[in-house]
Amino acid sequence: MLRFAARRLLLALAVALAVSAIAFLLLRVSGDLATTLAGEEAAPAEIERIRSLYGLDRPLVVQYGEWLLRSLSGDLGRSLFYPESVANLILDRLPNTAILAGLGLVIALLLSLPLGVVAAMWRNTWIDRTALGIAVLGQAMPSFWFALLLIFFFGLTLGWLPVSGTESLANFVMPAVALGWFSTPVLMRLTRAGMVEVLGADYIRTAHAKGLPVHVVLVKHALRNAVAPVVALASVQFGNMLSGSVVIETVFALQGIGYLAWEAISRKDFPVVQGILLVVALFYVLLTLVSDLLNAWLDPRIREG
Amino acid sequence: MDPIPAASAIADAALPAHAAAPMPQRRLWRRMLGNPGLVVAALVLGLIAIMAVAAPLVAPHDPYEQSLDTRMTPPAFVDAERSDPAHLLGTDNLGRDYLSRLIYGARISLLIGFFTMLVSGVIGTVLGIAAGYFGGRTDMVVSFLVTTRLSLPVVMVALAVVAVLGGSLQVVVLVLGLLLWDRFAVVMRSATMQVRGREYITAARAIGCSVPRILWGEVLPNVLSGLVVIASYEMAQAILLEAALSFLGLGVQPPLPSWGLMVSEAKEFMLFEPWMIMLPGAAICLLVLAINLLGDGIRDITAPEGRS
Amino acid sequence: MSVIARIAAAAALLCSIGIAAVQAGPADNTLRWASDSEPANIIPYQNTVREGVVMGYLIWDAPTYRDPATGEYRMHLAESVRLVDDTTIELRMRDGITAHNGEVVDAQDVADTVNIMLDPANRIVNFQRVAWLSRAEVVDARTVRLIMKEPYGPWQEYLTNVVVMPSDYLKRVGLEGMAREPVGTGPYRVAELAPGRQTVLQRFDRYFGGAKGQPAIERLIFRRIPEGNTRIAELLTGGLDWIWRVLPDQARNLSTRRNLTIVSGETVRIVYMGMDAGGRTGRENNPMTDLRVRQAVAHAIDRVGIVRNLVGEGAQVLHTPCHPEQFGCTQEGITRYDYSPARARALLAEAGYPDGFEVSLMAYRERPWVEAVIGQLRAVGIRARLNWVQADTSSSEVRAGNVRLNMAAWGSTSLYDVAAITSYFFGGTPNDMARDPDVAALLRRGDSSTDPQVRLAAYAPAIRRITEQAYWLPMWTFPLTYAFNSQLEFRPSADEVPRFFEARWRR
Repeated sequence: MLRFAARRLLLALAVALAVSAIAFLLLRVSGDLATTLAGEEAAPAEIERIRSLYGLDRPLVVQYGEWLLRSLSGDLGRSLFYPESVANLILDRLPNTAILAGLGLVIALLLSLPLGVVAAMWRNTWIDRTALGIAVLGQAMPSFWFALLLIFFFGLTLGWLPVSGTESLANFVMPAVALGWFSTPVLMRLTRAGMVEVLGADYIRTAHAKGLPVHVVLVKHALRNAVAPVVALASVQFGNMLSGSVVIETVFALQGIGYLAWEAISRKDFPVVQGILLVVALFYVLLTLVSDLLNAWLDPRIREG
Repeated sequence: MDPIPAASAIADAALPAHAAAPMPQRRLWRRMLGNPGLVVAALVLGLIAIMAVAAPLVAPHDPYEQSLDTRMTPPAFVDAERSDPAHLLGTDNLGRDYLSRLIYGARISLLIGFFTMLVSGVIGTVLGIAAGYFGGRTDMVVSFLVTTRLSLPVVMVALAVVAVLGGSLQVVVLVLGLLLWDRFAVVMRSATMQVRGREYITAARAIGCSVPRILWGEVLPNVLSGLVVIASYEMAQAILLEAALSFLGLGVQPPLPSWGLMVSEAKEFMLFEPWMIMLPGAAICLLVLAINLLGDGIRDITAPEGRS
Repeated sequence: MSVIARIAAAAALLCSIGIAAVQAGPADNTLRWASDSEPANIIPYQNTVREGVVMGYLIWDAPTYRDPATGEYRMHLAESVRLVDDTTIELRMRDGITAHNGEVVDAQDVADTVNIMLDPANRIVNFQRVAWLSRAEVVDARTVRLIMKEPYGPWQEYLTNVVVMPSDYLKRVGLEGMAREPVGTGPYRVAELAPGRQTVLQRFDRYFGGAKGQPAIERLIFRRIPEGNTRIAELLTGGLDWIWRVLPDQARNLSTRRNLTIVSGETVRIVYMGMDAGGRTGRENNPMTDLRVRQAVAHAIDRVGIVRNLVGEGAQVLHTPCHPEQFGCTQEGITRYDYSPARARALLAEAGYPDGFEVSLMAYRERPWVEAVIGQLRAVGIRARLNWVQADTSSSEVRAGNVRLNMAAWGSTSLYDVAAITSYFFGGTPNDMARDPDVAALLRRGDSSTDPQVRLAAYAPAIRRITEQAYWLPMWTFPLTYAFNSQLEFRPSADEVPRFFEARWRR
């Protein structure tokens, strides 16, 4: 187990380093930061002045090394536009995204678990296909379109939910539905696959034979076993949702890190983009590391391979 | 040990755990016809594909020809009075024929989906098969690459790259292709590992077949059905991502009419001329649903007996 | 298909039931407004976005104020302004100005603000506001002198942009402290500054009034909502009282709602097409260096039709490389090009391009307009490939001399002077695509004089020559449409700076 954990940790570290290099390089390869900083209506001399002020005329490697060392000590630098440190900006926006992703995950699970179970019980029938259709529908609609439809239906026509902002939990309902439904198909397919396998297993047949009621068999025996991989995947999906909400956050004017990232990208606010990429990636690495270790601890087959 | 358990969980969701053994063609056909979802999906996709290929023949108008004075003419089923029989589905913001743009748009959307899938498929399959067949160091390097890729948020990275390079058909396809190969790699790796142990591979190795030959001739055909399933999902994914990029102003460039671009262009009129966003939106919906149904159908019919 | 049914149902409901009544408004004397972008840094010297300019007017003041209705310069923080010599402006400050924190603001604050902003170590983003000055000197407690780098024609216009900050506070907390907890002398003080969430401004009860007058509305709440449909939805449900940048088609439909007022106004922003007349992308096979080709482009585009159908109310077709309201922008003796595809084709044939040619068109905003232009160029045989880029890429590519044909907009930073546009684009600067030395010399003469008559006499021939040579195709003025609660009294101004301190609720 120790050996397995050490190897996983090493991999996670290597990945983290690779990600940091990608995050740094991604936005430096092209585009002129000095021009952006100087503003659309600036004179050329002004641009040169800014270039040297920000140290953008130094070699890339030097800039990366410095950035990495500072990042390791928790200093992600300062935004080029906000009078704030990158770390503060991210910390300020993270709660919104976390609530959104958390609620999104809850909705995804609420949709995918029942759909997956139903599909597995009546597999290869029209019920199976309808369940899949419902799951896929949320993904098939371009997310911004679906989000706008929600706004017009529940916000404008019915007036049930606030249209935008982050004042109350009600503000998060529509964005979470849009985000959660999008992640439903993959979770639903996994639930279905797990259920199909478990339902065919001997102990379930035994349980049936013992005359236990169907719902007891389903919930207490089958679902409990089928759901383990779903939970593992759900944690990964949570990581995806943290970063995948750019469009949803834009539509609902919900100021989270997804939107911060988009804003920073369009302004070429490099320190912020790099900081967000790094934080999101590290979060993902951590999440998968924990989930892998947990799985290995629960299931010795994995660590022995 | 499995180097990327969390990642394989994603793959498991899409695939049966065992690579399918080749199946007699007749049985395959019978199973296919017994799966109505698959048949419908294949028909819809086929229709869209034919429309896309034959666009110049099918489209009633030049999709680029504009007429500002007759812009936003609604189709007859929305408003019979304002409609114009020459434009079956109305005209867009610049007075261009909507039906013709939808038909040409199918071309662009399918092109994006297909070529993205091709790029990511090639990368993912090569990496996956190499990792699965050679194992050891190669496997470790590939797992490292896959984990790195998975930890990069797709939408953010795509946005950043497209924002820097500028949106165009080629850039979008390349960027998405470079970002969507992970599932291919994971699935191909585990499928290859299962196939590797089989007798015919061992036999091929024993009679001195070269590695590329074994990979190409023996391994690839056996993991093909899994490949098709993943390919279909990734294609749908690419079409949707392009729509999202278009929404943020970074998709393919007009006047190329991709469906994603049409949806995002019609967004401005959503409140008052809702049919404009409904048509391309429904088209994307239909396409993505059909692709997904097709993928699931293929997964079902190629699964070994007794599993599905 | 269930999808279509769902959407149809939603759409039908939307159309039939109509939309919940506007509810917010004058009850708490608060104005809620939103826009698509927001300044990352609220200090006017540290941002270049429009919302930042608006906030700047609300929170801070400058020595003088340009009255948007009459265009005249009025005394504001200063009580008198005079030119001592060609490069020295002397300001006599009004007595008894207090900042939001109680600090007294006088000559020292003006001098300190200018000198701090001029200090290269402070990395000022919007350097243009002070770039024309070299330093400031205090004469006595109420008198301060601003020294220009060289005689500068549009100094009166630029002076309205030199906002003054209470300098004791500024020196104590620094520029970052000021950005986080801004303190000014303006009609509104910052009550809450949470970028991303909202910015709340509270009426400053000890405001001195000056040229801006006393504000009526007690609280202004600003939110950034990037998506246009969401802004409209908020306006319709009463979550917002005021939005702008409403698109013409949306405006047409919104104007039928009872509780909303829709107003379109012109702005000093203009849209133009730039052509590589100077041959900076190479002279070989460069059709743009040929006058007849540039004229053909000008004749090919139906500006009247585009303005009528797409640009919408409040816009007018433009014929000069400057806005007619800007100082020095003569409309006499200029060459006008009307829409005539036949004439365009003939000119192209004459220039040796009977079958047209292919060219890359760089653009970054208002996509439908650009697409319409591409369609019309295509009709005369010019096959323009769109190269869609970010705004900053567009300007840096122009500067680098890589652009053959582009379509862009320019707001002259709201300055009512051709120096902020014609000289900027034709004065031999890196932005200059025409590279006409005669034009550049004329513009330079106009810029460096402080005598209005000398300036006018220099600018007029320059502008005439630019139109005659068709270096640019000036297209149309950029209209701005506002939608707001009908109970609000609000008058838009052409400089794209909504004066919320002049707005009030009708009771």
